[in-house]
Amino acid sequence: MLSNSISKEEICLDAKAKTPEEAIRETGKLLLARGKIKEAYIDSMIDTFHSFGPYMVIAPGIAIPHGRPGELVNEDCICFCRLQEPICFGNRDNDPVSYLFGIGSHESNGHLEILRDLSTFLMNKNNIDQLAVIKTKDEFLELIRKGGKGIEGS
Amino acid sequence: MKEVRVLCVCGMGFGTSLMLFMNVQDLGKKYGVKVTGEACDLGSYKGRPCDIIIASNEIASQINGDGKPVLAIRNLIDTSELENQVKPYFE
Repeated sequence: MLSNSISKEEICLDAKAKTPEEAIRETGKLLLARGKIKEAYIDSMIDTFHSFGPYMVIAPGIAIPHGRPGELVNEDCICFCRLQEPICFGNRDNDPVSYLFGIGSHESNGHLEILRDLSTFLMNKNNIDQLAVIKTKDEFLELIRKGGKGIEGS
Repeated sequence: MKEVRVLCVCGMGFGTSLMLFMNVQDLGKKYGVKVTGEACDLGSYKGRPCDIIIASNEIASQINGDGKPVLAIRNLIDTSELENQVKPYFE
């Protein structure tokens, strides 16, 4: 379950960023907080953005920055970063970005469950609307506890 | 049961492509279609056997389908968008 994968240190609700790179770096720092990645993974996340463009913006306002799976990731992980001000990543359909779910995978398929839970969570539009409203990390954790179960229809 | 081989492609082969692949598999269940295939990265998709290729809009424009249909998805968490695009191949 998504709520088992994220701790308070891996949540930021008021990140400041002026560029996509800064936003990705702020998101990466959250994955670093509990040592689930090595610092170089943050550079890998930014490299992915530079190499392949803003495809990581998967839906309006939502990005899932990630780097190359492998040894830079100690443990499959996910974090949540909300930006104070939305910024454009250059994605013609889904800009600007307000919410980043950073993900990391030690092996290329190790994080399947995290990805599935995230997908289920985001498919419920109410959950996305709530992301703008929540004020505390506890509220965020409560939201993913309730909303990440896949029992509510989209 | 009809089988459709789906190749989902993204930059790294483990983020958006896997998300798409899982969603396509779920849709396969709904339509009674056996979805086989895999998720892979942009550097290694060529030559892999498939009936259709699916990718996010940004990646799809970089794909040469070599005669295979390439479906471009704008919103990856909008299942109706994905469903509308894969439906013709599932029916």
